[in-house]
Amino acid sequence: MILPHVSYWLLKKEFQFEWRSKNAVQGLLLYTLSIGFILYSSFLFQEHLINAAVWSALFWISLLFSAMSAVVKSFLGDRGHTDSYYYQITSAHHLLFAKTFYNTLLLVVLFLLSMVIFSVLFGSVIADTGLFATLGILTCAALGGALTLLASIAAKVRNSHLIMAVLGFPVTVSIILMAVSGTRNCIDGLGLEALWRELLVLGAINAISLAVSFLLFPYIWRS
Amino acid sequence: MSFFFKKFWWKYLCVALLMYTTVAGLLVSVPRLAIVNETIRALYFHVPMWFGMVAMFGFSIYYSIQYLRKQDSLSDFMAVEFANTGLLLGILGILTGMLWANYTWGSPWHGDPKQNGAAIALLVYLAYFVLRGSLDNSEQRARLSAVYNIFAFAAMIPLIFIIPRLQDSMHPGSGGNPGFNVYDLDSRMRLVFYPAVIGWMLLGVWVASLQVRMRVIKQHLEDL
Repeated sequence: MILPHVSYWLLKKEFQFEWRSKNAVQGLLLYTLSIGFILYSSFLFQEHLINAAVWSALFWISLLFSAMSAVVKSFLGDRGHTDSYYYQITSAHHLLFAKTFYNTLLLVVLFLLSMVIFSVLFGSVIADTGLFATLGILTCAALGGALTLLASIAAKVRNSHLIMAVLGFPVTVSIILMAVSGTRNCIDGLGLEALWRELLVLGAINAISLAVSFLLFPYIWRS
Repeated sequence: MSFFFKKFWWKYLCVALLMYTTVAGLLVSVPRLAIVNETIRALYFHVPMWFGMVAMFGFSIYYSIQYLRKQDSLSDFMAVEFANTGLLLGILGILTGMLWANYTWGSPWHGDPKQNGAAIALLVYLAYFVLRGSLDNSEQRARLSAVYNIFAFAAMIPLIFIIPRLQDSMHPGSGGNPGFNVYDLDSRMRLVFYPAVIGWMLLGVWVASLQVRMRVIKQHLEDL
């Protein structure tokens, strides 16, 4: 079983790189904080307007924007010689697995941070925290899977950030729709019976996007 | 499909079917129903656009897969032109649907799940063309856009086939509203609807085939 070992090594490398240049992750945390604060300021003294639907839409849209900025850089650092170095020592699947896993972890961190920011600024409205965390982790995994492949495409193009947004928004719509409607149920505290459909669809999206990424990534990487 | 392009019989068939669709679709009597009234004839012009769009996008995916396997420029031309034609049919489908919704639902855009799904499907293919436009190397452009085409199609499966079934809709045929098979008691509408679907699909293939041939000729001219 060489795959887990090599992927573990690549994953460790991702963490080391991130640790070495902390400004990227610091920028990301500040970005999330700024979005939360802008949303809060634009609803200042109108907090009564924020019901379950508005809260969940604001939360997931802010997380989607943070996620786009988080994932787009995952292949940009590997431009040039680093790419050909990986090409010699590892396979496409190891690299994809490591990058997807790392991006998912990063998104879960952003999700937890957004949750703290939103509960401080807008008040904690989630009735069922455990279910909301499950929903959040599944959504982060689905976003991580879909956006990692798109980031590898965007890294080959000149204006990567624009292309990432253009390619990413239509593909992530179904994930965000499920997350928003699931969050509404978490806020109302309707329990697992009201939420299992959303969780099931998110799991299915995860399976589809991971399987298709696995098949397609070798073709992107070859160039 | 390129052998099919060189035959003529299906072009005569396409012209005949579409002439029949236009004449019979506007003149043959239709069931009288409240609210819908004569707008039920949209079935012959609006619904076949979606059948055509799905078929064109399906061909586009098929040729994208072929491109990744064979790396030939003809498959890339086929993929991009079928996507282009599918986009055209999709825009026509949205416009005819908005016209119909204006008379039956009271406003052109109603936030119906089917409308939103269709709009997002069009966004995906517009993004596909933006991606193609921003890559200079033709080999890289063909390969990356083929990958995006396949990936976006897979990502849209839940959006088109699962999520609309979880939501309510005013669209005929969903959300408890009867589709045309309930109104059409004597199967008169089927006699026009099925030929219309085949006719519009053939027209789509015809448009795409002309565009592919233009691209092939352009490539030959550049190689000279």
